[in-house]
Amino acid sequence: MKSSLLVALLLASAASAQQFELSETKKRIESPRQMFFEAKLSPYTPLLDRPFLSQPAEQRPYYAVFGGGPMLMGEIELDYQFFQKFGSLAGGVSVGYAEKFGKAIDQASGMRVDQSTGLRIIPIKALLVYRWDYAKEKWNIPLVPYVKGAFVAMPYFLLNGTDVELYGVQRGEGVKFGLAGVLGLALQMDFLDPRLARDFDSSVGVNHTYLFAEGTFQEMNLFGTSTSLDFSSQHFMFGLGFEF
Amino acid sequence: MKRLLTLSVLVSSLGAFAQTSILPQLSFNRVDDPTLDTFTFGVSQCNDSVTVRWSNTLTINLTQCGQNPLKVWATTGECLDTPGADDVRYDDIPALSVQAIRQGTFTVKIAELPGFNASASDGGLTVCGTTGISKTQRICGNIEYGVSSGFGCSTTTKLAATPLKLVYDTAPPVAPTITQYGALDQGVRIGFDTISDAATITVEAKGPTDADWRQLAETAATNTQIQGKGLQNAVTYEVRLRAIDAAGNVSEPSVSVEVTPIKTLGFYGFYKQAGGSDTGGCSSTGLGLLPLLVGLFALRRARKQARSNT
Repeated sequence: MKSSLLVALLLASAASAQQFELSETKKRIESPRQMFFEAKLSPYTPLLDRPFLSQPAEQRPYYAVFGGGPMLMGEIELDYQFFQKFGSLAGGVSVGYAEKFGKAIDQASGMRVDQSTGLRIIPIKALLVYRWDYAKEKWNIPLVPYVKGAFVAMPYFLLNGTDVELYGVQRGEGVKFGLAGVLGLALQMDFLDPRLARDFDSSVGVNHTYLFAEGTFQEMNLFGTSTSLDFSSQHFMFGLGFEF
Repeated sequence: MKRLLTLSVLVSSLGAFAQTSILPQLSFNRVDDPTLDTFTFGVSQCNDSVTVRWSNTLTINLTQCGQNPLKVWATTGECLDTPGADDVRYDDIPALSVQAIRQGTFTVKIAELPGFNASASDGGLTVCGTTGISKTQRICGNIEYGVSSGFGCSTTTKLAATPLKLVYDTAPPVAPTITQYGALDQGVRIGFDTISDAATITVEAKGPTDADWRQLAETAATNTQIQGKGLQNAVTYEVRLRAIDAAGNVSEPSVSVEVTPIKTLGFYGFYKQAGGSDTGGCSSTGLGLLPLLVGLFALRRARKQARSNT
């Protein structure tokens, strides 16, 4: 992480110098920007075993059934910027999807059997986003730190075979609610080819393109019981962003 | 971005080129699915008709030097340049239509195909309704056209259309072979060898108290396994497969196997057995909604205040 930051800072300073030179010679005329679109991926490991940490690993549900590894989560986000003075403030929504499959277990013998069991989640977030792009706008430093706060609704589906699993009359599906906080850093990539970036703006209306990484702290079991399904997590996301 | 655009244009043109190079240019296909060039039928369809779609995607001008029509006929053999004496002819399609309209349809009565005409000499000795056979007939087309070189028209060229195959199939496929099987929760999974003639595989089961076999599920024959559901755990069933071809002919059953479905725990079952309390639904964290409710309340207050100020 430290080396990544160092590389980003080096790139930033180089880009800053280049952009400064360019901005001196040719003042850029930008189209208005209001929206921010992000597409991102994440290795997401829900803390479903958190209520069972006192038990041996092989008796913890997520570890026993899915091996404890992360799910690959994809997410898209769209923000609307309603404040653009000292940084930008935006409201947004995001929708993600992740799934994980493993082998079901024979209730009698405890052995894995040739039947799949799965977990599917669709995290939906309502977000408030603050991007500190003042330095980028003022001094052409292409690094934009940002924070996000989110309310999360997460429909989940627990499958046995191809159907939602039943335990007695209880169905393995529902919706969880929680909160999430995000801290991220975006690298504006326009400095790689400023002319191309200008063309992208004038032809398509995309002002800036970003590569970003963000850390998410998600608490999905704020006030649930200690043995509720817990989709909380701390995970990193990486992706591409377009400001337009 | 421009480079990306250029690259995408290049890739799509390559794709388009590849596509045009493999697409038949003058062809007969099924009207219900123009990507298919075969229609398979059985005894029950002997009195039906088949609507054939013709299409022309040629770039050459077929009417530049003369206007010979597209001749259409059905044969029991391969499509030649011209129809044989015992082939069944259909109305010609005018060259102007082929050139200008580019596609259309015509109807073929199955009972009148040459293969079902006992007096025909080119193999047409089968009456539609005969069982246990498989016979292929073709709808053929051919058009003659000339090309202008600027000094007159060259010798005419004969261009054959890609034929539509009409397969009369009353021969059942061979019985499937079970390669593996396993018990599921209230079900069974059976693996099988692929059968070239089959379109569908069905799985049937018979329990100790069942009087007859019952079908549990069916799957495309291109798959290699099938799952049947609706069985009781801890009861031993006899399970077998059958193959069905595109014409609806059903094979003899496979050798049966005995399977006893088992109670399995998926993630949710395992979680519950481990002591999990979640019951599904919009459960837990009613208070988790609190921030949303507070936000909504604040928004409502702000709006009210804004309204009263104005």
